[in-house]
Amino acid sequence: MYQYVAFGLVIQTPMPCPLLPKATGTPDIRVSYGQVPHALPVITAEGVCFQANAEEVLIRLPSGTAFWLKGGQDVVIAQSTGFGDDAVRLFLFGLVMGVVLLQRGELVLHASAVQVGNFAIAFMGHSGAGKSTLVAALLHRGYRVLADEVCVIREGVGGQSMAIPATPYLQLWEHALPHIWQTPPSLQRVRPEIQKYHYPLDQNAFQAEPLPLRRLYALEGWNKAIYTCKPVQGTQHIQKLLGYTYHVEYLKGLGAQALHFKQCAALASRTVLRTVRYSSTWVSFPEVLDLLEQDMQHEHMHKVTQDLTELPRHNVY
Amino acid sequence: MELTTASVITQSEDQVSCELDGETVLLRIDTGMYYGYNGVATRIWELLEEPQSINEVCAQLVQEYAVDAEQCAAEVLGFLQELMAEGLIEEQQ
Repeated sequence: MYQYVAFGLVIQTPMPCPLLPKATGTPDIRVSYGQVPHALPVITAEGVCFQANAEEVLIRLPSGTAFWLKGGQDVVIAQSTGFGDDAVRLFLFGLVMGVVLLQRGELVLHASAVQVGNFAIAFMGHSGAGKSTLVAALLHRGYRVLADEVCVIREGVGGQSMAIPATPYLQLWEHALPHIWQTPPSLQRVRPEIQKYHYPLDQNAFQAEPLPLRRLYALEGWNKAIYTCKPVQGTQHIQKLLGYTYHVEYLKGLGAQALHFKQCAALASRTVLRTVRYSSTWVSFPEVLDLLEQDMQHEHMHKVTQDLTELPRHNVY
Repeated sequence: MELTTASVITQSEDQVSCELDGETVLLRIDTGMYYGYNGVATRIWELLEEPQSINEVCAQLVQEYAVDAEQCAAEVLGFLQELMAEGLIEEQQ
């Protein structure tokens, strides 16, 4: 058995995880190999790869590898033949831990995060929006990284929302590398089958202590060359936080919608949010980065008041 | 279910709400639908924390806003009928 720290928790694993810092002490989450049931006895929500109820979640990947998440405390892995350890680790410390954290009643955003001064700034986005690439580019400009994809928010002292350091590495797609480095370094693949790479973060690059989260950006690519950065308030602010929650589709199964709403409402009241739109073909990425960095450095984000009447309805879960 | 000004209504148990930047955001838990309202709607929602008759709600609004009592009743009834249809408020017998 091995023990590591990730997301501020001690996680016990049956296999080594060389990218993670080792931990001593009582594990918060125990991962083991074993048998995983074919189906859950009660199903309150399901998707293509999962079933969920208030206590348990079953995730079954197309390859046959399955993860059984019990009560936010135990994870059982049924690893199918041909599915390597790299792949297990990739899913374990991404999707699986993300859902375990949701089971534990945590607020988890699909976001990367960096340190700016004494605070954290988070960049929310759907897969492929550019969260990791952006953060790697900011790292290159001297910002320390707290999270790459899974951003846990916990209550801190004095009613602050704290961004929690996740795991000390970035996962970058091959095509993103030239946007970050003139000469990309030599990197290990996250798993043999895909062109995604690990970029380990040392103590100068990884911010290992939680920081208060004061602002968020929602990264939304589009097919125009222009860059816009607009403040978002009220209902739309909460809407974005709800929508960019990590694997929000699992929340209904866990019966956690009311708690999640309250968490997002609290976070919204303590933060400012901007939506950033930029070309999804990475045209003018250095200019986008300059503009974004300028915005990040501004002490205050100006709140824009809009006169609104009834707003449209949206479905979250 | 038709509401009248005598109907006593309150916030439904099936929702959670919060106020942010002068807007009221409501989430209907079972359906996952959420709604945003502002202006007078925010004040009406606040008044419905406790069961009130629609008459009482209107009486309060007429005091707080420069609005004609009859117009207020008509608009409030319309708004509340909508909230009722969405399962955000319930009638108390």
